[in-house]
Amino acid sequence: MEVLIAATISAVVLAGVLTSFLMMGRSGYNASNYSVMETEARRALETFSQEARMASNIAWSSATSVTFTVVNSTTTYTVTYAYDASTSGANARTFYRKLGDVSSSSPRLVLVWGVSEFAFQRYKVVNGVDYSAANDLETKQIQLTLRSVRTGVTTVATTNAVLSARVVLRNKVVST
Amino acid sequence: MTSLSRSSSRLRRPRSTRGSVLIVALLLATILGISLVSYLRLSRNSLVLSNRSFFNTASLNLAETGLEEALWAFNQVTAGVAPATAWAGWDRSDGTTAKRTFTDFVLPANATAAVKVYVSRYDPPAGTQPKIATTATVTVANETRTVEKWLEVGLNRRSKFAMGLVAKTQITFRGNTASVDSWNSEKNDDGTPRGSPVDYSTGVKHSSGSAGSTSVAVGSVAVNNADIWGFVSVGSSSSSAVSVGSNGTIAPYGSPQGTVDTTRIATDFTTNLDVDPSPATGTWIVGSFPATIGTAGSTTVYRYAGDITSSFQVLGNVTLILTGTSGDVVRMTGGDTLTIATNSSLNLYATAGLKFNGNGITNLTNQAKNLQIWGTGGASQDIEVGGGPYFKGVIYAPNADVTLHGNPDVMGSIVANNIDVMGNAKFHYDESLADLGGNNPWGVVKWRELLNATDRSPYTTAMSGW
Repeated sequence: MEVLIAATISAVVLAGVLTSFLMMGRSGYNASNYSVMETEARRALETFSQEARMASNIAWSSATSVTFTVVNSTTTYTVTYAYDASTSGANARTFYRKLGDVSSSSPRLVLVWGVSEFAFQRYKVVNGVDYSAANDLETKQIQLTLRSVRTGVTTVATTNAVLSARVVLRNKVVST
Repeated sequence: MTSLSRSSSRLRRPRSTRGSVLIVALLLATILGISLVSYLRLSRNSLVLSNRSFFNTASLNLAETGLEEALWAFNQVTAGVAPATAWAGWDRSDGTTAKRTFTDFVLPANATAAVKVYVSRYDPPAGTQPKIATTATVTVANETRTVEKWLEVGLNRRSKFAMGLVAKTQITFRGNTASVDSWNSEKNDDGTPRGSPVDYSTGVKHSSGSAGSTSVAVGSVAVNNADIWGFVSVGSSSSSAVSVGSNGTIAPYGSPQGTVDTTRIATDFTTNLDVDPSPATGTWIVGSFPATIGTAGSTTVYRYAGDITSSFQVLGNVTLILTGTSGDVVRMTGGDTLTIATNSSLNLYATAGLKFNGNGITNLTNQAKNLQIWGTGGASQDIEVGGGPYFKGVIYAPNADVTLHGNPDVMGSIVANNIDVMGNAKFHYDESLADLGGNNPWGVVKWRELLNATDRSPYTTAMSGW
């Protein structure tokens, strides 16, 4: 009888310990995912914002691809930020940067992996009724939104929604 | 041996497995401990990164605060404040540069900040583009490293002629073959200076002509059947404020006539169009107006109270203020011609009407900036330019109505209340006028972040030791 009671208590305690252990493992995995996603997002926003702020021109290919002409110390260069919406391949669902325009074959620098939603928004500089810009000529500010996702076998998906500031293209003349 | 002791003896574990539960418990506790420490370190690292990211953004804003302080001082001087007052608190001991450190910032989390600002020329001579460099350093509590941002901006005087045609109310093209395009009289296409200024020709033309109205009214830019090889801007939030006829064009060169490229139409266009006051000084011209004013190689300022009704020539750099307040103070007709000689320029101020008809205006300098007409009157002021094969100059008359008639080639820039292009004039905007700053307020023309040691090297010495 005593053995049975001891075994039952031990089983309950062990089950509790194991459950706690598994919970901690999952939480740690999720926390790690959040940390990685936030680190990626911070780096992506910093890189994107640095070049957007110095841009003297913008070429809007679509809501998921823009090319900046960036003012350097003595010259200018072009750089493209875009979202790869493909579902397979090494760069599937990534937000990336590459030198050159949208058709450039320069290598991609992946800034954020596992992106499920992505969009650029462009804005005018004035306080009009409609802030959105309709073309490159009147674009003075740009913003990006994205959502990245990490999934695990036994854990729920972790998501990170990112909304950048409206970055002002400081070197861009609005109306020529 | 009693039955109880026998029973105890049966339950006793073998000596070799004693303490196994303890070992398992210790192992589990160790794993849990490692997990907890890892979790805490992860949280701690996330907090540190988050803090650094926050202060990284803050440092950029602080650095821009330093830029604003310097730019404010520059524009105070432009507004007439004495340099000693405008630059009070700055170290100007070397007579050329200005330096100042700002530390009165309140930041969260016990962080402190210092912003150092360096100005390359606080009192720049005409034609000089000063630079401002700034570093913002944020020291975060309990952190060994600081967060730092370096910025550099180049300044230039803002031009009143950054566009070709600008109207407060309306621009109307009435001729079927009127057109707008551009060229740069002073720079090659690669941005290098030309050996000497060139006139407009098809060999140097660009599709950067521009016409803009700050009005929100429909038809504020009435292109009708003209060709705008460049851009159109309207104050309205809708591009429908631009009215284009069936043969009208808004497009780059190479496009078929009749093309309207909506990516070349900007909405919500605004700009400040303040009247530029005329100088209060000058030598009075008494009697009839002379056939020649000014002296080659000299700068002179004249005032004249009468009307000009015949040809005259300008030598040297002349400022002429016509003080008449009614009617037309310039009435050129028949064979009358205003001639700007080579190496000469004319700044003409008037509050009353101006009519440049007859043989028109002959500007022999190849540069529109050498004929500047400043309308300082109200809504009743009318300026007419007609006759002659071309007009090369700029007109800034934000309250006046400007009419171009005949079929001249117009090279330069026009700012007015209404602009009416009556005939089939060809308007060519001189892009070099965007640099015609005069004594206008300073603006930022180049903004960049100094990201690495190479970028920062021009300022590392200047920024140290103070």
